[in-house]
Amino acid sequence: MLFRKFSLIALVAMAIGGFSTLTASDANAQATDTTSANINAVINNPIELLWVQDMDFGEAAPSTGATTVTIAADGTVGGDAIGKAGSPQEARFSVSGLAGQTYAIDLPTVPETLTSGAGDTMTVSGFVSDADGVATALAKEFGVGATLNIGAEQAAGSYSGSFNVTVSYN
Amino acid sequence: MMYRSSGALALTATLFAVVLSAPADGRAETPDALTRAALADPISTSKSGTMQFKVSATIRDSLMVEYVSPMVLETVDSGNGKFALSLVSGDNTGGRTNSARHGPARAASMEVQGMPNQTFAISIDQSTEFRSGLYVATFSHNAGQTPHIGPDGDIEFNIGAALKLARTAANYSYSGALDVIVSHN
Repeated sequence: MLFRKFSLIALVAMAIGGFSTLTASDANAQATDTTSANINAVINNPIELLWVQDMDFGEAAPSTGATTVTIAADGTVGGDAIGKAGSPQEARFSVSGLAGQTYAIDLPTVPETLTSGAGDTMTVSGFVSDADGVATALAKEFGVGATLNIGAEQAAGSYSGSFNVTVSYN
Repeated sequence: MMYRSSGALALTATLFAVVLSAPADGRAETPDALTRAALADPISTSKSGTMQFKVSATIRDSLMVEYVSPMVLETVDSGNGKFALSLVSGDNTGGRTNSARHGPARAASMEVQGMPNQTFAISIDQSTEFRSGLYVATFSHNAGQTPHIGPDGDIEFNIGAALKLARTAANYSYSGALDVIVSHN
């Protein structure tokens, strides 16, 4: 009986000791173990741009000196070029996004080049926009204007090119 | 007894092993399905957008002038030693100083093409002498005070003049040329 009790006590002690040893090592493992965790976020109401119309300076006649055709963001045509005709129009696009969130608009800061089928060129510069910089849930339209630089005795022809507009949340 | 002790130990160890089997590697839980779907669509996370626009422009040809028909002048015996025929303002009506005209008179006609409604200037030689004692002068046109291209991109107008020659000029068919310059304003 004595032997039996001793054995039982010994077994329990061994179990307890094993438990103690196991928890200690496990605690050590948790203290030093490292891993990486992904941090993810979802931005609701992304800013969205929709094309409305391209820019067109219409027609103009060359002069002995350099002249210009200007189109304001609201489509008003000006400049000292002679013989302006056709249907000039500003570029237009719409913006929608998180209501009330401000945004910045990036227009070309260097002249863009227009090229004719014969390889002659003109430049477009001075880009302007009437975007108000505040997003709305519903799409709101804005215009982009610029200045066409016609060279002295510019060669006749149809000229074309392109430019980019970027809108970003602040 | 030995058998009994081993069984108890095994049972005890098993019990503790179950309790201590929780993961200890610090690994994070996986994202839920909704977040994973949002991440899979990059557009839904965009904070900026770029739009490309086309730009176009047309440069028209400069003014183009085309000769249509010549000026024809016939002599008039004015009776005072001079022969003259005046075409008034290029409208093909012959004014006469005195005696009746001989033969028809016709103003020169020309066409100018350019941008619709574009104004232009007309410059004509003041006088052109064909030969000694015979010259054409007093040029005029009927394009108006402010000549301009029509809505169709062209305009045709006449140029008249006065022929003056000395009485001693022989009967002959004379011909000559005059310069008409059209330019942008």
